[in-house]
Amino acid sequence: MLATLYVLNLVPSFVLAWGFRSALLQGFGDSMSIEALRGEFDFTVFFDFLNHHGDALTPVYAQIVVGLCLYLLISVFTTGGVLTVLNGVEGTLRNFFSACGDLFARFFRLFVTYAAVALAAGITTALFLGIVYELMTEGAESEKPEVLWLFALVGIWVAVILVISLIADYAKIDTVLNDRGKMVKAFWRSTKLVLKNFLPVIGLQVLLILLIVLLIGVYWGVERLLDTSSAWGVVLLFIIQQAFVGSRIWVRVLSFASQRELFLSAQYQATTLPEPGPPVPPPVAEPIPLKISAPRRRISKSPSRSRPRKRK
Amino acid sequence: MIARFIIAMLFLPVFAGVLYSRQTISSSPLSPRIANYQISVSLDVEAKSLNAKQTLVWRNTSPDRISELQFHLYLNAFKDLESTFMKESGGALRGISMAGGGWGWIEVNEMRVRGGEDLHAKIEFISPDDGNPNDRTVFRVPLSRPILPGQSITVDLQFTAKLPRVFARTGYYEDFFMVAQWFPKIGVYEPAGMRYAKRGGWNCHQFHANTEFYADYGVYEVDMTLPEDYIVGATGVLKREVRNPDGTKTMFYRAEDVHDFAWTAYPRFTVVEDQWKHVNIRLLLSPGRTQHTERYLTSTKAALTYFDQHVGAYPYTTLTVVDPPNGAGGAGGMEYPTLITGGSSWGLPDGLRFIELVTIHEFGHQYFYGLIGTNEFEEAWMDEGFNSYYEVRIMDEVYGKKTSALDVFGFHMGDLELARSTYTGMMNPKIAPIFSNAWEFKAGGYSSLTYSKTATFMVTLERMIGRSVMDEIMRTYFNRWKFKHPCARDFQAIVNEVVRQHHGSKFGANLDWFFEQVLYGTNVCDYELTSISNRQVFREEEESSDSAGTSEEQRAEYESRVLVSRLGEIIMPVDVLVRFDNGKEIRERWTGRERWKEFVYEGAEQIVWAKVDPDEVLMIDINLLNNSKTNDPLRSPIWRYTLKFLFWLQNILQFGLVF
Repeated sequence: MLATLYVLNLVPSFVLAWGFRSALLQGFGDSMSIEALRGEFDFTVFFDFLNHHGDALTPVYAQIVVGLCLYLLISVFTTGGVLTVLNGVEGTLRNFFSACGDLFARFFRLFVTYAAVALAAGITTALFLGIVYELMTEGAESEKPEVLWLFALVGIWVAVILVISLIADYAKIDTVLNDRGKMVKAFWRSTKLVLKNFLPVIGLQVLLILLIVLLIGVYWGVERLLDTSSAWGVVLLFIIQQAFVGSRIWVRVLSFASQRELFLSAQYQATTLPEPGPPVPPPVAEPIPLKISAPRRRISKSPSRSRPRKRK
Repeated sequence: MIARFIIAMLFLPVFAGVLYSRQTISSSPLSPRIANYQISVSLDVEAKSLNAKQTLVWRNTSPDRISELQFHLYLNAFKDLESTFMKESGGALRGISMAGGGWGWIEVNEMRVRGGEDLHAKIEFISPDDGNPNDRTVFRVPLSRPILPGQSITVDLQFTAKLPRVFARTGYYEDFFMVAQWFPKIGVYEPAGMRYAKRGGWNCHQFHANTEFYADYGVYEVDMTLPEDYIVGATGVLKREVRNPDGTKTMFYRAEDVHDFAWTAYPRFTVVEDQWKHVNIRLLLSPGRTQHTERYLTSTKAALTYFDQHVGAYPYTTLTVVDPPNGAGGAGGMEYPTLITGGSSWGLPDGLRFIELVTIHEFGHQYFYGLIGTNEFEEAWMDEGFNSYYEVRIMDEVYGKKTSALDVFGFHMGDLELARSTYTGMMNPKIAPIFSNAWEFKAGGYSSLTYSKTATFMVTLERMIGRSVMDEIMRTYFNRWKFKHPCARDFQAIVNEVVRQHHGSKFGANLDWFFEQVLYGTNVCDYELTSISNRQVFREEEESSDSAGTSEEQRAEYESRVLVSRLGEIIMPVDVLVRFDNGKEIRERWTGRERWKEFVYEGAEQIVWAKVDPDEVLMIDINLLNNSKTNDPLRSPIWRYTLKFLFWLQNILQFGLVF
């Protein structure tokens, strides 16, 4: 599964990067000025390239936008497969893509829900934080409070979006584990779950973020030591870069796995340790007939034995 | 008698103070001292206004009888949206907008020739540059009695001024005041033969968005009264300070041989003093900026040292560097005699060398504006351009050729690179010649051409004639024209003179052809190494028999060609360097006149690479990528950047998995 995700990341990126390479080749041709870029960044060479051959990059920019949209769909598509495999299904390509296809429609709806909520919350929070910023920095005699408040408020904004993303993550897990069909409801249930278990949810996420920060630190440290002026240096750079990308994908899958465990734990606590309910109402003269809905079809009774639905 | 004595004793300190403040600084005048001012001004910090009395003593050094005076009233540029300044700037300058309600103006309430006629009623606003009837930045006043050659006139004025909310160079922001361009200032009378004047007349331009300076030298005695808690920085030397009973203080400044006077006042400045040779450096730092003390002082001293060594001595004993506070950025990055304003921000990383760049640039104006009084309205390149040239030299020498402007996160840029790219990156580098009136440049053209193109062509000139010859030119120019008003042809004459002394006729009879192209023309320079080729040729049998013991078939003979082209219209002599596979190098000299030229070589060796302008003399060349060709182009940088691009793309795409 990890290899599949890696290939799905590499292939579109490589196609776009090839266009970039062609633009560089076309711009520099047989010029020796490229030698200035052998060691470090050279502004004059870079600038003259953009100034005289920048047009060659225009289609690359357009391709990147298309690529980003396409990859977003790919990531929506693959989430179902990732979660199903994490649910214990054998991670064959057939199983993986089968689950991707089965769950795509639901996850796409969930994505739309998430995007709408994130957009609304993002704008509202930004407006609110903007007012806070104005109030807190009005008449500041140096930029220090302005900069610190800006960082703090941007941090809060990012945290809000991150929490919404976490809600979406737990909604995905809920969808797979409990075979949810209504995504708005799933999102709402996850919201309640995240708010009820706020500290463990955030704590887990902080740990995962720290892991990524550690990976970035290691990457930057190694990259700075690399001499990329030779062909072998470039090959080594490629290997290290791809190891980093691979590890990021691994962290994402790890994130889903950890979130799934947390979700199950929270669900278990909710079913075995119910909160004390309201006092039992006094008996009424005539019993009210209960409307019983049809039982939901579940993918599995036990999470550890869950299987994806077969495609028809 | 006793009463008189007591009164005399009481007033002695005041008289002594006045006498002390009139003490000269220089033992003999350095300049012609044509326009001399005494100003007593009080600052109303609540109303943001000035009330002042001014006495101008102006000397007619021309051979003409002068029957009118012309004055600048700069602050009226901020009077309303109809002024020429506001129309040109669109109400915004350097990214800072004129705030609503923050208008400024100046009004002359009284004007009289001492012991003579009242001039106030005769004031007439004129607009010599654009005829804008709503511009109130220049006025003329006719005189009943003309001023004869050698005579002086003393004019007493009383004026009030409302400072604008700081916008362009001058004004207030809360309790910070940058008081510049603030008093009625007389224009420059140019007799026939001076600069470009065909007949005598006043050179007194309106206040424009781009430029503002041209004035005669003189002595300024300025006293300002303001609240006691304010810290003041000003042009010249503080002679004394008097505390007044009403909680104000009066500060007496004297500046000699300068052509302007500016001051700043703010209660929350942190004052740092330092010394460089004879110069007392006074750094006025705004709150939250003390972290930048060393950056300011190091760059100021670097500039003082460099100009002292390469151009000439700084003649003044003070230099005040002002760091405007947060919100008053419009006052930053400006030059006044012995006072400059920088620009910084809390937390500005060391690698963003904005503080150093601005400080060095503004200090350079002490020479190219301050000591050499060029007309910035008409020949801005001679102050902004020359100054940018020295800014590039100092920045690149002190902070590194590739890192002097920017050095953060692996990205770096030298100041020369910045200047060149600003010019070569223009949408249309042919939009106008540098030699234009500053207010006539189209949007964006002014700074790119006067600052950046000038700096770039000056570097080109320096590399053509050599650094030491260039230094001699600039030293000669400084010594010959300090405290005077030179023009372009005066500078050209010195270039021709010094270059002829050192290089004879190497560059022709003179270098006018160079200035015709880069200064007065609009064309661009672009030389290209178009192609290199190696073709195997077969020699005649007789020729091959000359080779000792080697058969004809075994010998590889080549006809190698290098084709260079001139893509631009600018013509410069240029070298072409050709390298062969046996390590041999041939340097060709090309006049650069023809549209193309081919160099042909025959021999056993093949051309590996060739470069036109291999030493990068022609920094004014708009495209350096096409200056070389090789048979074996290096591909590892292409791969390196492709992989970096791939890596960033993969990471950006990976963000998609956030969902």
